[in-house]
Amino acid sequence: MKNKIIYILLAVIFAVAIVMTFVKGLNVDLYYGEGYTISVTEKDSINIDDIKQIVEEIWGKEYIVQRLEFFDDSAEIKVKEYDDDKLTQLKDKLNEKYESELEVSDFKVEHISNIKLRTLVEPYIIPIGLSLLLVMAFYAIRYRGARKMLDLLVGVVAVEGLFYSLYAIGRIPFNSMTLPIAICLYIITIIKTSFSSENSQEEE
Amino acid sequence: MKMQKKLNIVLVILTVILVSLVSFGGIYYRNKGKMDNRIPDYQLGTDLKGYRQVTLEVAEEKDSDESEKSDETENAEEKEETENSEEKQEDSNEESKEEKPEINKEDYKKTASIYKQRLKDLKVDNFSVSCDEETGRIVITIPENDQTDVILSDLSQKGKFTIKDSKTEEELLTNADVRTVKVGKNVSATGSNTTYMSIYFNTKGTNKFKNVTQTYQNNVEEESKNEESNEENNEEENVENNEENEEVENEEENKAEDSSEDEENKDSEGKQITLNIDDVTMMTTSFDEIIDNGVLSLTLGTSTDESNDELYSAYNLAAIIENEELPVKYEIKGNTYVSSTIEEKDIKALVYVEIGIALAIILLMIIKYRLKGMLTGVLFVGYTAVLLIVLRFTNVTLSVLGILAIGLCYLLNSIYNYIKLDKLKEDGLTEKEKQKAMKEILMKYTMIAIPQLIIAIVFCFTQWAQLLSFGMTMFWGIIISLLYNVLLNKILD
Repeated sequence: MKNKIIYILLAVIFAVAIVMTFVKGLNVDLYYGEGYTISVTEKDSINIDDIKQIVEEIWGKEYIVQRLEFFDDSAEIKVKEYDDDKLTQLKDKLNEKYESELEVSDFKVEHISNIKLRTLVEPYIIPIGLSLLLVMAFYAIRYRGARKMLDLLVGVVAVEGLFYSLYAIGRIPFNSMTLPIAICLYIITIIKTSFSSENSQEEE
Repeated sequence: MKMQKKLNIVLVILTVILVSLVSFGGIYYRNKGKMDNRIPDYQLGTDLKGYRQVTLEVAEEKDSDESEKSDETENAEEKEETENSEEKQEDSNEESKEEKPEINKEDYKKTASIYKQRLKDLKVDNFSVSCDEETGRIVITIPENDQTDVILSDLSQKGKFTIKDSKTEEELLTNADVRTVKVGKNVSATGSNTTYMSIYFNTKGTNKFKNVTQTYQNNVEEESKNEESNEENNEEENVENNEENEEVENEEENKAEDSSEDEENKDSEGKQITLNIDDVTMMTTSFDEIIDNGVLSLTLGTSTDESNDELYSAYNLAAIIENEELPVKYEIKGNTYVSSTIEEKDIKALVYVEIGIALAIILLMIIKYRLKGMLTGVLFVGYTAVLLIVLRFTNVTLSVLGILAIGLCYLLNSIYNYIKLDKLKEDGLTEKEKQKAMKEILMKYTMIAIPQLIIAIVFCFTQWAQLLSFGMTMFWGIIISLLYNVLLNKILD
């Protein structure tokens, strides 16, 4: 009875998550999302932390600053939106910081479209699917039957599904750590299931 | 016996301290006036190092120039022949109307997917391709390495591969006839590198290619005279051809090189074909015999240069030939190195979190199992040290997932120690009971580790750097954990 309630609850959560994904899509962070890059090049070397501070003063929290090339004189700023006023502020603050004479026209502004999440997830599907199938086959041999194998499958689907639902319903931005965390959860689930399966095998 | 056991424990602890010093500190020696570490550095993945960002935009200038020119010529014609020009203008308008919608969102998407496929064929890992479906602007990020510049050099190619008649320009074979392309390098005794390429045609292409080799033989006139008698010879020659492919390739290449000089002579001798990429001729050649196995083998060049640039160029060419032609012509508008978004401080934070969890586990073990727990903690440190040394000597590339895998290996190893401490917590076990318990512990741990080992091995066969890093780290982590625990059990128990 307790299990039934959990399964129904999980099914409802997954359904809501799937509907949310179809209606609103997944929320992505600025790195994968649409935005504008502003390339800045100074005459002398720049400090990325200084640039970050300046950008934060103008654009707030949502920005990415990366070093460009190997000469420590360029940086790329990625923001969601920009206008002339913000570019002027950036120019003024950079000129003040580095005593330079940059003009707004010196900035190279480019529109960057979003990276499709499917592209990011695609390389992981076959290896994870194949490894899960092989592990399930091992379970079927080791524990002689499909029960433990199904427990494993349910466990993996439940954990990964909840993780996905957290992102879909909670509107947590999908970022560069999302997939690594998902894989770690996958491994931890298998370790946990293997551990409890071995314990119950031992008891039997 | 007890004394021996104590001595073993002291020896193990000292060894762990020594290995930890080597792993976390390094072995330094003076080399050319500076101190160098004998332990190799960690190989960091592209997600931690940085990448190349390339911006591609639709090449429209040439098309617009051409249309302007065609407009001008039409205007000139308009003055002379009003009726005809009106018709032509209507036609050209219709054509331009037809041409413009040809480049649409689908074409941009298709171009992006062809670029993805080319990068996959080139075995580039950790790449991303984003396409602005409105403007067609494509941004590609690829890891920074030896191959990067070579890949970029051919990125703007449309990739229209054709084999044409050198005189009539008739298209004999195209990308659609190609099944796959293989590339290889041969290093001779003299140290020169020869790069080869074999184009494998599909079933339709094989038949077409056979006809081409038949039509474009050097001694075409003689062949037609002695066609019947030569059929048998051709079969034998084809068998020989497979064995002596390289010699034939050299002959073909020599012919290609001398093609310009001998062009006039060859005009009279027989027909020739040209191999083209985007209508630029790469090679002009003809054939000595009929090739019916559907493989065109080419020698791309020989150099004494140690770099792999020629080989990388050949891989590029192969990726272009075996994929479709881009529906839209693109040109590179931007090419910059961008540092990783994951900074050193982020990696440090990740490592500190892992260390924190490890310390918490050790602390729990000490609280629960006292002296045995403390010894287990020391062994944990030793395990981590050994794993980190092995990862460096085996050149495992560490990405974010690789670093997380170290934590998971640690977790798995701590499960072994938990099982062991839990089973052996009762005092007064006889030697036999202890040995039996140890066997059971090892068996249980191995059964828990096997699924992770399966996953690690599967991941090791992927080309995606993040998964490969994870798989390699997990693989070594599990193997070391098993060996380390078996070895220590023998010494300590």
